[in-house]
Amino acid sequence: MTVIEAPSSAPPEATQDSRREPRGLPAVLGSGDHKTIGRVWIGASALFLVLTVVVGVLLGVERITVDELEVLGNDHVLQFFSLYRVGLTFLVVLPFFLGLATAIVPLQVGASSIAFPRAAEAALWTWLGGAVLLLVSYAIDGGPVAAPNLDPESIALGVVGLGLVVLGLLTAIVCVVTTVIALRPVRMSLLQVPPFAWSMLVAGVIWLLSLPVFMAGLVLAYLDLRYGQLLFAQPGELYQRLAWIFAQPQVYAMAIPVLGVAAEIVPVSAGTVQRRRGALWIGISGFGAFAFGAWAQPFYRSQLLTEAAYVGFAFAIGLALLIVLGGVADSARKDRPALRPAFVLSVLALFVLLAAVGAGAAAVIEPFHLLGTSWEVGHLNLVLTASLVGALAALCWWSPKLWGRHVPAPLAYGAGLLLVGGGVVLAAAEGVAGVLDQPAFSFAGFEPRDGVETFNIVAAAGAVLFALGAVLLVLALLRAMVGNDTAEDAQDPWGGQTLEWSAPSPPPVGNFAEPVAEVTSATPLVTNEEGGA
Amino acid sequence: MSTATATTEPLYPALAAPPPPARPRVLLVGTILASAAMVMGYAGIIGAYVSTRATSASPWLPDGVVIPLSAPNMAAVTLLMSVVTLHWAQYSIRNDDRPNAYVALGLTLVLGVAFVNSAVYLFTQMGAAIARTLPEFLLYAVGGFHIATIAVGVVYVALMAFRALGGQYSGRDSEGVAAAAVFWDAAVAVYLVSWLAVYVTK
Repeated sequence: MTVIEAPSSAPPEATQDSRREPRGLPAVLGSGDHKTIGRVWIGASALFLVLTVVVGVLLGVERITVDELEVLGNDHVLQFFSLYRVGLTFLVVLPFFLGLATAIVPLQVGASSIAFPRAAEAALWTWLGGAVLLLVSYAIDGGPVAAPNLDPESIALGVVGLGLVVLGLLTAIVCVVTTVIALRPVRMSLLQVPPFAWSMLVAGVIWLLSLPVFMAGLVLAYLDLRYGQLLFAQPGELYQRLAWIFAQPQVYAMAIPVLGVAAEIVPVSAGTVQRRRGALWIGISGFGAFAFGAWAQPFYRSQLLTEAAYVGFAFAIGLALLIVLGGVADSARKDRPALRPAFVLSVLALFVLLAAVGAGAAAVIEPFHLLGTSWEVGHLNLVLTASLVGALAALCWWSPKLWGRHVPAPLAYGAGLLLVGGGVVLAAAEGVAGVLDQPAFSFAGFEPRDGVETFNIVAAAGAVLFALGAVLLVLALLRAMVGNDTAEDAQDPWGGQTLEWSAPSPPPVGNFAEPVAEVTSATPLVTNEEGGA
Repeated sequence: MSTATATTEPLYPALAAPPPPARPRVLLVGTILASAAMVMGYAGIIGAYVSTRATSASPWLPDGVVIPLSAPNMAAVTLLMSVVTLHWAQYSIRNDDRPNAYVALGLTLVLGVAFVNSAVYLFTQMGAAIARTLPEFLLYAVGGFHIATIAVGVVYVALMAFRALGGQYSGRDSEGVAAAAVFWDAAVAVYLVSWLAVYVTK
């Protein structure tokens, strides 16, 4: 073997320059640095959040009168309805958590990079390109909604766009899950990875097993649009075939990371170490397992909604959530937790999620007959609210690590309270309207019981509050992202217990000054006896 | 300057350095995850096929469309042979038997291309048209899925074969070939499900 040594006369600066961290556009476009990729995911999902909540307000206003469609019109209401759901799920919540995981999880497990960094970069741009195609298709009378008044070519474009979005998400999931499984330091067991990393592992596996089924539906839809329209012959059939992804149990899958965020924040805020970690892990895993919903597609089996397995999943997921809540509460009872925005918001997110699970369980009970009514829409909005509030809590917690700056507390509280208040009012009003026989999919031409319009007005007000909260969330994110100042305590402002808080803020390329060789504790930064470090 | 490459036994085994940490099997884990996603995508398509067939009025296949069993049988046997050759390649690489590994990888590629040829030939034999009826459309969807997955597998195996030719894999590290074998096995397994559920039971 021949070793070629660099000439000793070479200036050391040249070597340093070649390893310098890329900045500006080169860093954004193709550095492969997981923090940069994660930041772009988060920023882009925030932009899409603003768009989708505006659509939500328009839908709320459209719902006010049930006799006729005054705002969006009969031609476009189904388009907007699907855009709201598709947008919040595939352009906001999933990409936000994947972006956060792309940036934070490698730090948490002590890795110098994410697994497959170029694939992670490709995932981002595939998702973003697909999102743009999807929105363009909506703008030219398309979107993944087959209807007689829409242009088949534009619908096909929307299906391709959504397919690319899902492909990008799947690629990013493979990168994140592989990082947790294969890039942990020696002797760090899966029981010792931080709660957020564990929740992303569970969420990633569930998404990885369910999104390809959704993708298969999109492929069939595209082929069908190109060749004869045999499979989706009826108007609206295409969307109904894909709608299982927004219904229980699958809808809960987008909220799995919320559990990890809360389990990460609460013990640190209480200044203690999470006890009974195994039970917490079982709770998060159980929640994930019961959120797997690729098997529950009523389009193929309408009797499914009354089957014992479907009803059982709706209740079992509540038990799993209670285990998580118990574990988190147990860690907070030792001492009075510090009431920081991240702590308050993460606890609020858990309780909203609990309300959502309760609403979901109520919907499947036979005497109520709430499936197919706007109760289902309210249920989805509750899950989305919990996910967004959890995302805001995560943003408050990790923004010093990602950008070196804190999210201003007044903005965080304002955004969180508006999101929770608006989301709960919106969901409750839609739920009551569902009890009064308002259907989920139809916006006009049905006969509900008296009083529906009053609740629809309340729901519209809730949608406005929710939208204001979302705008404040984006402002909070901008405050964290933009600026030249760096918080003095940015490296570890909370007394963190996990590895990411040992890295500089923001971390350089390679993350740590020296490779993390061996970790034998779940809380390696805790030096007292309880932490076991 | 030159350095020695031969390893030497420690003079005092009790003082030998601890074994190096286990190498992260990143590519293998990533491929297992991607293969799981591929299998679930297949589940979505075959689920649509089977559920639509179960609820349709009989007969399922329209007049003029027949599914001959000889071509799917040959395709299944071809793929089973390719599984054997790919694992032969993996075994050979692991034992630093490079000539056998190259032969086995080459045979796997040939068998993969032969499967694609056989699957395309089946379409011409069936007398089906993609845009005519729903059963024909779904037959094309299922068959096209297998052609696509095996084509991806051929590219994956070819990439690993070129890496092996370049000397990248050896007895100490055969992860790439093992990863390709995982994807290939999954692609063959889902074809065997279709062979039974689509071509045999019709």
